[in-house]
Amino acid sequence: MIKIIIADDHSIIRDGLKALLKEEKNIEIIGEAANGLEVIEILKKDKTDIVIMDINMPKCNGLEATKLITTNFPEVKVIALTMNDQSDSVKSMVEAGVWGYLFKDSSKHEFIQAIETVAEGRKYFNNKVFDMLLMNSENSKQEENSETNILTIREKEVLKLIAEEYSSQEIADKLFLSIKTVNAHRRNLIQKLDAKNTAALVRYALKHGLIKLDEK
Amino acid sequence: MASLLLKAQETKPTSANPADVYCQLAKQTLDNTPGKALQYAKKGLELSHSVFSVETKALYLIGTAFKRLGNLDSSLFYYNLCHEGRIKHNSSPALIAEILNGIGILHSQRGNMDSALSFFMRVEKINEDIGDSAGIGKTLNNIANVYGAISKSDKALEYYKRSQIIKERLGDEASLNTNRLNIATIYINYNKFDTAQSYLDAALASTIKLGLKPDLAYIYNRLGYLNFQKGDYKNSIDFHQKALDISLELGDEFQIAGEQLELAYAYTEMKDHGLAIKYAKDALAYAKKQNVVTMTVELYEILANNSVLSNDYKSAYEYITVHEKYYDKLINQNTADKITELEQKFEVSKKEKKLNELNIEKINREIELYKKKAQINYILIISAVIVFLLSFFYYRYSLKQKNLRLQKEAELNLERISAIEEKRITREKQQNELLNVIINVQEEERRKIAVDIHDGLGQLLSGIKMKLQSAMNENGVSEKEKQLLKNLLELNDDSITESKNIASDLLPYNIKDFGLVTAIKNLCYKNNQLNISKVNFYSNDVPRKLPGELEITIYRITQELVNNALKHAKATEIFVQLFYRENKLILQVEDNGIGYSQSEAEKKANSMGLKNINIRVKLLSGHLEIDSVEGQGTTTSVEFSI
Repeated sequence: MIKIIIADDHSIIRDGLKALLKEEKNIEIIGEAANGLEVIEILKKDKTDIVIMDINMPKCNGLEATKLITTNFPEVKVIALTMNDQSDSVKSMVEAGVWGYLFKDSSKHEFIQAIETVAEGRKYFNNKVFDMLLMNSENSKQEENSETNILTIREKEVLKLIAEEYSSQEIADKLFLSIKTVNAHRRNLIQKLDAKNTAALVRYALKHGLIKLDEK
Repeated sequence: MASLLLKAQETKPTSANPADVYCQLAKQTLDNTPGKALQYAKKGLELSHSVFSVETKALYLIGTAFKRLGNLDSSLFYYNLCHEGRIKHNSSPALIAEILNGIGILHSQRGNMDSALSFFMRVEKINEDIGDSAGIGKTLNNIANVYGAISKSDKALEYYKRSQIIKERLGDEASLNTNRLNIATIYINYNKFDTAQSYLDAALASTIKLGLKPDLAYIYNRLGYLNFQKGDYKNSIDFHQKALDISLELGDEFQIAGEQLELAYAYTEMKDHGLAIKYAKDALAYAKKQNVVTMTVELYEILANNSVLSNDYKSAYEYITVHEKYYDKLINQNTADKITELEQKFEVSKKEKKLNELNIEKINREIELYKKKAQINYILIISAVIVFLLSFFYYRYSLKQKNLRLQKEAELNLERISAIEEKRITREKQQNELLNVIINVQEEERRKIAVDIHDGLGQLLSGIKMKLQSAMNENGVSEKEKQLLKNLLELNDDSITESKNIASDLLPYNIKDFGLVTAIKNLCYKNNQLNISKVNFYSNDVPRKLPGELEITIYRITQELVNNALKHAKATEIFVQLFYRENKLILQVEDNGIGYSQSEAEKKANSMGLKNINIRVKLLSGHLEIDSVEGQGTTTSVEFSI
C-alpha cells in the first residue's frame, strides 16, 4: 500500500485528486494539507511514502516544505504538483530534491504512473519537464537559428539584382521599395550570409542559382 | 439708447445718415450685449450703401461683435474685409492702426503669437508716426501680452510698465486696469503673489466703479489663476465660477470655454475627476467648433490625465490618441508655417540690408565723379563736396542705424524660433510621460488578468478534469453516460488549452525564462500550427540579456505585426527576423500579403494597431520604417539603439 499526503491550498484540487485515486487498490490517502506546515505536522505523526505537493501555497510553500522534508524525513518522497510551467520553478524544485513533477491538468494515467514509479524508487519527469530543464541549462548560450541561410522572398529578389550590378536606387525603383528598405535588406544579407562585401554576396547568388551567367 | 434707436428710424427717410446711427448703437452695446451689437452693426452695413467710411466702420464693428461672441473665424473674415477696404480707400493711419490691432488680437487669441506680434509692431509704428499716445499705450500692452504668451516674462513686464506710464499720464482708468491685470499675471508666474494680489485689488475696485462687466469677468479669471498658483484650489474654483457666470451672461464663448478649461484644471487638482472631465468636455465642444487647436490639445490632455487618475484607461487611451492627432496637426501646421514666415522675414531683412549697401556704393561712385569735376572749379566744388559729405555721412549713419534695427529684428526672430522649439520639447516630454504611464498600466493589467486566468480559472478547470476522470471509472456508469463524460472531458481539455493560450498572449513570461529570441520563435511557430500560413523565424547575434522594457516592446510589436499580416494582409508567408549589429537591435517583419498603396497608408497609420506600435517605438526612441507595395506585401523594420 502506497501511503500518500495531498497538499494544496485549493480544495477543488484536493477533492479532485482524492476522487481520481480512490479506486486505486494500492494507493491510500492518509492525509490532506492546505500548506507546508500542515504537511510537516502529519509527517511527524504518520508514516508516509509520498507527498503530492503544490508549489504556490500560503504560509510554508511547496519549495520550503520540500527542503524541510528532504533534510528531516529523507525516506519521504515528494512529487511536485503545479500549474506553473515556468522553467525556474521546475529547476528550483528539482534542486530541492523532488522525485517527480506533475502538472495539475495531467491525465489519470499519468498521475498513477508517476506515483507508482516514485514508490518504486525511480524519478518521474515527463518530456515537457525535461525540455524545460534543458532549456534552462542552455540559458547562458545564445540560441542560434538552426535554419541558417534561409533568405526571405524579398531578400532573394534584392540579392539577385545586386548580383546583376544594379545600384540600391535602381533596385528600389524596380521593386517599388524605399531606398532605406533596400539598404536594410543589403545589410541583413551581408550579416546573414556572413559576407564581407558585395562580391561575396554575388558569389553566394551564383552558387545558389539565383543568377545565371551568359555562356557564349 | 432707446432715443438713439428712435432717431435712427426717424432719420431713415431723410438725408441724415441712419447707417451711422446704427453703428453708434452697435458701439454702445458692444461691451454688455455683443449679440445686439452684431444686429445693429449688420443693419448699419446694410444701410451704408457702399459709402466706404461707414461700410468699413460697420465691418469693423461686426468683426468686433463676433470676437466678443467668441466666433473668431467670422471675426477674422470681417476684419480682413475692413482692412482691405481701408487700404483701398487710403484711410487715415489711425483707422489702419485700429484694424491691424484688431487682427493682431485675433491672432493672439488663436495662438498665432508670431503673426500677432508682427501686426502689433506695425500698429506701434503707425502710432508713433502719428503721435497717438493712447494707441501707443494700448499697443505696448498688446505686445507685452504676446511676449508673455511666448514665455518671455521679463520682456513682457518691461512693455507693460512702459504702457502703464503712458496710460497713467493720460488718466485712462479702464485701460490701466488691463495693464494691472496683465502685470498681476506676470507676478503670479514669478510666484510673487502679494504683489499680484495688490494689482488685482486695485483693478477690481476700479472696474466695479466703472461698471465694466467684461473686465470684471477677466479680473475674476486672474484671481482664480492666482489662487490656483497659490494652491488654493477651492478659492480658485469660486473665482472662475464667478467669471464663468458673467461670461455666460455676456455670451462670450471664448471666455466661457477659457473658464471651463481653468475649472477643469482646478477640479483635477481637487481630485474631482468627474467634474474636471465634465468641464473639459464642455470647453472641448467650443474649441472644436471654433477650431482652436491649441486649446483642443490642452483639453484632450486634461481628459486623458483625468481618465488615468480615475482608472478609466480605455478612455484615457482614446483621448491620448486623439490628442496626439491634434498635437501633430498643431506642430506640423502652426510651427512649420510660423517658422517659414519668420525665415521669410529674415530673408527680406537681409535683402534690405544688401540694398542699403548698394546705395552706399552708388554714392561712393558719385563722389569720385565730383572729385574729377573739382579741377574745373576748385573752391566751388570743395564747398559742394563738404556739404555733400556731411549729408552723405548723415545718410550713411541712418542706414547703419536701420541695418542695426533689422539685425536686431532678425535676432528676435531667431529667439522666438528657439522659444517655440523649447516649448515643443517640453510638451513632447510631458506627452511621452503620459504615454509611458498608459503603456505600463496596460502591461500591468494584462499581467494581472493572465495570473488570474492561470492560477484561478486554471485550477478550477484542472479540478474539474480530475473529477470527470474519476466519474468515468465509477461503478454503474452506463456506456452512454461514459460517452457523455468523455465528451465533457475533451471540452474541458480544450478549455484548459484555450485559457493557457490566452494567458500566454497576455503575459509572455517565457521572455524572462528563455529570452526574447525563444519567445518570439515560439510566437511565430504557434501561428504556424494553424496551417494556413507559414511564419518563418530567423535571428542573428541577438544578445541573451536585453533591457526588459525593450524585450516586451519588441515582443508586442512582433505580435501586432504578425497578427496584422495574417488577419488584414491575408499573407500566406511571413518572415520574422531579429538582427543585432552596431549596437542596434533590428526587427524586420516581411509578408507576401495584399499590401497597400500610398493613398491608403495614412488611413492605415491611424489604425489602432499601428498607433500602438508607433507609441511604443516613440517611447524607446526607436525608428520605424514601413514599406508596402500593393499586391506584393509589406516590409516593416523597427530599429532600437541599445
